[in-house]
Amino acid sequence: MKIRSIITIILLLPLSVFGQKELSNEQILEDYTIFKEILTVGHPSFYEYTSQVAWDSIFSSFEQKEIKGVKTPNDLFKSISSIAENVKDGHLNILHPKIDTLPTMFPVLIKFIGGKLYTDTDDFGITVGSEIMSIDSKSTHTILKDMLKYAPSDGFNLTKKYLQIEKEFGILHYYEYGVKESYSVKYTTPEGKVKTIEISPKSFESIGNRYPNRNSHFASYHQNVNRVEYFKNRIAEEWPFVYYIDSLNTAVLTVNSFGLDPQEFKSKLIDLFKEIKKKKAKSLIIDIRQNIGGYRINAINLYSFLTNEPFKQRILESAITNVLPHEKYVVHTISNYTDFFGMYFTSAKKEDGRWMLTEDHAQAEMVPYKKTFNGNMYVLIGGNTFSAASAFALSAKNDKNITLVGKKRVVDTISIRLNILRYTNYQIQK
Amino acid sequence: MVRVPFVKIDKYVSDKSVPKGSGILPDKEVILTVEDLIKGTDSQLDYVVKHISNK
Repeated sequence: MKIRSIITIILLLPLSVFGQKELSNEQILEDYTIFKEILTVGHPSFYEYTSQVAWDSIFSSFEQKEIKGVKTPNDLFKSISSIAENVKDGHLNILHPKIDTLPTMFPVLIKFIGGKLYTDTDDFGITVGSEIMSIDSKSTHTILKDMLKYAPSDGFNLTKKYLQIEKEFGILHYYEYGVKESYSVKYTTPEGKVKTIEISPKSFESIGNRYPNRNSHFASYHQNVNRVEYFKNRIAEEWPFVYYIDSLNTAVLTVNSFGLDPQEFKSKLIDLFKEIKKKKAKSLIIDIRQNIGGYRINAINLYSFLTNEPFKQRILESAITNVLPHEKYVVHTISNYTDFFGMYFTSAKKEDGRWMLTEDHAQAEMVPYKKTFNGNMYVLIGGNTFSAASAFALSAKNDKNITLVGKKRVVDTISIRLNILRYTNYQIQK
Repeated sequence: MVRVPFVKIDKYVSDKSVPKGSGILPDKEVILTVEDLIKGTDSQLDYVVKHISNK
């Protein structure tokens, strides 16, 4: 039995203190400098999308001008988020300083379609499908532009950003514009009438309670009138489940997460594929639109039920540092990075300051399961599909027997020259 | 707080024509329209269901 361990590293900027008290210039500069050095010394793809000249300009602009406007931890969070966005790495996350008490926030649940904001529920007297034109006289175009920095994604992928913004719109609006006593919302109804309404902010809990009512969860399409039950059983269900469209001899396998115990996950898959075979399904639709990732081995195991050939996922893994920069600020790690590095990159070659590993540690796992599905196969992908889920989607994309269906450029940026970056969820085989 | 990756992963892709930074392109692009949103139509699943039924 191979043992897998996961390494997770979180760096704490030491002066990103809680609350909104003012920071001194020295504190701001110290935090910023640590952040900059961690990225420039350790980030393995820092110059992938932004050149050194462009980075010099970004850093210089902050150091000479923008830093003067930074007063609070929230200001620093916004500035650092703006800088980090230039890395174009979906795994580089800037987390907001802890808030002792969550504020009330913008409560309308929205959906992005074609770069515009639409209401996703019938709440507050606004018909579902109404286009939000402005909030407090600020155009939705401006609001979207202001919020993009809070939603990291790989490369030029905007869809993942849009998905995160529509999920977290209320809290992101608070991050950007602060607490409001009310919101003046101008919108256009589906019939074309322009209206303005005043809406009071609501609590995080209140917004969460309405979340299952989103039309874009498609409960009605599945003939389910109880949206809360539908949300619980279909959207929020972590374990894979299957349902059937009997008239088409089709099974629909929904896999909302790969972040589950690998042994139990595989056992579940074995049971589900036995059931699918027993039902004599001729077509299989795999829905990973809500899957934000998890353990890579689960993605590998799922694909092993679909292919009759050995497969591969990675051609190169590389790093530019064998020690963590500013290690004293690491607040969470399961494994010691130096130990991990020594073990994981033991056979790596070093070229131009970069350790390069061409052997995939999980290659031995990438073989077909003894009984695979051999009918028509479709995989549904969406803006949430990320990380390990995108690895599965890419395996499906590489397979001529599988049709990938979804919105254009919906998944995590991956191509032969694109590089998925991640520090978390390493699966290290000892 | 900042979460930083330290390992870059280049993935195997059979389609070499995909531009860098584009993401995985679906074989069939199906978008959600405003009408789909209002009606609650799962347009992507609906496309596959219709595709299978027309085979």
